[in-house]
Amino acid sequence: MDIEVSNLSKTYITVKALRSVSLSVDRGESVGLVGANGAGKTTLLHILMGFLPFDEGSVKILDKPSARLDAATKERIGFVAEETGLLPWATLMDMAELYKNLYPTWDEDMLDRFIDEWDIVTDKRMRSMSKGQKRLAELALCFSCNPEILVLDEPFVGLDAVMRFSVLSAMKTLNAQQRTTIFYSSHILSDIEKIAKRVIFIRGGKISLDEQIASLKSSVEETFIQNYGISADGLIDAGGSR
Amino acid sequence: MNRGRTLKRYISLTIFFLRTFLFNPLNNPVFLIVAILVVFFYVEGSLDKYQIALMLYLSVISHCFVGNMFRRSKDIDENALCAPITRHFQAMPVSGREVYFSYLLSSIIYAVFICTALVLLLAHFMKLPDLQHIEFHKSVAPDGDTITTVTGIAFSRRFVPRFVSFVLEKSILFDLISKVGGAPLLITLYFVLAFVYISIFQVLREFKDTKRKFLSALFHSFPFGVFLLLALIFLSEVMLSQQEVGIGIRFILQHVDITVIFLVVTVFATCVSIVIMSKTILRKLKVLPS
Repeated sequence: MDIEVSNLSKTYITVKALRSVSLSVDRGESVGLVGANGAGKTTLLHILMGFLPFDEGSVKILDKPSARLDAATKERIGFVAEETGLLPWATLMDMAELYKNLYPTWDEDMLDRFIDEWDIVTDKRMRSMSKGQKRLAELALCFSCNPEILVLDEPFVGLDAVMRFSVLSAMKTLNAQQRTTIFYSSHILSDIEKIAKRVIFIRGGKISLDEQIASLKSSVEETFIQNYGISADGLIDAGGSR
Repeated sequence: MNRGRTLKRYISLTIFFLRTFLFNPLNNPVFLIVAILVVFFYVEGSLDKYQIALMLYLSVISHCFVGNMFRRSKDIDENALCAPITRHFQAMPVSGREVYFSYLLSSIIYAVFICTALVLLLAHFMKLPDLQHIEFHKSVAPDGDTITTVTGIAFSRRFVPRFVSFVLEKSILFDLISKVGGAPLLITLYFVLAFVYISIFQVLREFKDTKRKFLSALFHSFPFGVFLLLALIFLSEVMLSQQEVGIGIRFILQHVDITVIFLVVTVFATCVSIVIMSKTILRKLKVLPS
């Protein structure tokens, strides 16, 4: 099991951010985390990466407690935060040079492919790049590390529809070809649906639903048929044709 | 195997800091300022110890720019309670200790390089005679000041000896203070004003939009203020020391014992200053515990 969280609770002074959260993600799985603003998605991902302490429960990533991740374990994890943290004075190539020495699985060719495909500026310093460019640079660096697990917090923020699609395709390829475990959060269900096999809904710091996308779709379908006498697809088609 | 990877991480980070920040004129504005000053003074035809000291100060305080760069991405994430850059480093396969020591090492390399280069530049521009048999004579002037006179024998290109005597200038800082009176009260006032100025500068830079944090910022900027003052005083004294030992590479070779002490003190004090500075920055970054 790549990710294992059991009975995790976290309180910020008086606000309960997470309440007895338990989940697990297997090797090669692609899991989406959906929730409204303030639901606890970022807190959960930050605890998973060992950035934040927690009150109760246990959190393991690659069989190591998240609070004590060593360099060897971190080499196997790719993380992209909601807010970019790339060093403002460095260019993409500066960062790539550093990553090349820090990650043994670094794939230079993959980075070159992303640079070409996503048209990323390589000679500009991060502070001079647009939000979308910075996001693409960060994702390209993260993917090129060839990690075993990708932990992504709102990875599509600041990206246009075309780039969003391209990033989703890249994630799908990594998941299919390298069996990379993907655990990512998003507000947008359609982004989750495109590559995730499983979706976890989080609400008020609690997991309200943890289900395979396929079974979720079929249960939604049944509900629609029971209540409206029409399939969800039919409704969407009808809406679309209007 | 593991030790090899750890060493590789230290080296990579050190090279990264040196290459992308400290020795990158695009990111470290000190290089541009120093370059302009050197050209300006070279055209003027003179480059005395005051001007080189100015460059030295600028180079050393450029560490403040590193802190500034870190703080530019200061938008604190309410969840992580740390700056995004810190989070980025935390996600990398490096420990806080590795980041800290690599930054420290790169700062030391940078400071030693800059100091050595500027001291050599000073030695070149001061054009002091290549003295042999140097002696220092202390005497008291009518106004109560202590005057240090240096005597020695200089040789011409044709090896003709001549007796040389000149009065050493005082420390830049204390010379300046003595010009404005030199009273203990004035010296105290100078320190207080300098500290207040530096503190306010830090406050304005960091917390210009959050008035509530003014006092907290004032408190936090204290180490920076002290560091800058120490750097100024220390470097002034270094310049004086350089002059007292006669400056010039050949003299350094003749009097290794004294010079080595001065150099060791120079490097040590620079390192201590950098350690204090780095710790403060890294604590702010939450890489190190506060």
